[in-house]
Amino acid sequence: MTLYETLFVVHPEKGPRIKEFIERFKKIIEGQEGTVSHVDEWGLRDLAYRIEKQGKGVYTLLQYRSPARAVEELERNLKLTDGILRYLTVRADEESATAAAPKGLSEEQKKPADASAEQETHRKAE
Amino acid sequence: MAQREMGARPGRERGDDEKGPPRRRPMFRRKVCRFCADKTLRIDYKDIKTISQFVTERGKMTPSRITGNCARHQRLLTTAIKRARSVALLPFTTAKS
Repeated sequence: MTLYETLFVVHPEKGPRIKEFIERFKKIIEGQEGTVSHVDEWGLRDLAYRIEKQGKGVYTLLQYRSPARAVEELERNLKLTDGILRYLTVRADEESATAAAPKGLSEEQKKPADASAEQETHRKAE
Repeated sequence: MAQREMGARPGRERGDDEKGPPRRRPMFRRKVCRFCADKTLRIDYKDIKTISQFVTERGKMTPSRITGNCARHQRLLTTAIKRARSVALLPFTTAKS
């Protein structure tokens, strides 16, 4: 059993039905003896580039502990489902998993403000 | 390196207005890998705020020679950037016209 996380992007027009999607994928994971530990809905966000002529997408992150075949099954379903623009499954970092803080739009200010400025000067110095 | 530069420009004589020892490269502040310095800082493809500090305005990854990242963290950063790109969190390029 490994801790995984899957991020998927839903077509904005299917946005209102996001709960259905989540329920469905949760069931798939649970059907393969996995346990969903975290569901994080980021909501509608701007995409960095257009996908299927869409500039926005609804992001959702699922975190779960399951055997590898649950990932296979979930990805197969993601591939088949209409309105899924993108998905990505990675093995989650066990250490920081407990504090799986939402890393969406509202990000806590951990970094000093001058960090980017500092990088700027590095570039100039080079 | 400074020596070679001199050779490349023979027309410019040294010693007229330049005094003292031969000019060395400008002083650098030694760059420290930011992720080594701050152990709490994690590299995560979802954390675009941190990651986007290591890409240029065009969306290209900044080389570690410029950011000062150590090899290990640069490597982790590379995978994180590529992951973020694949789910449209970061652009592959911003060649908007």
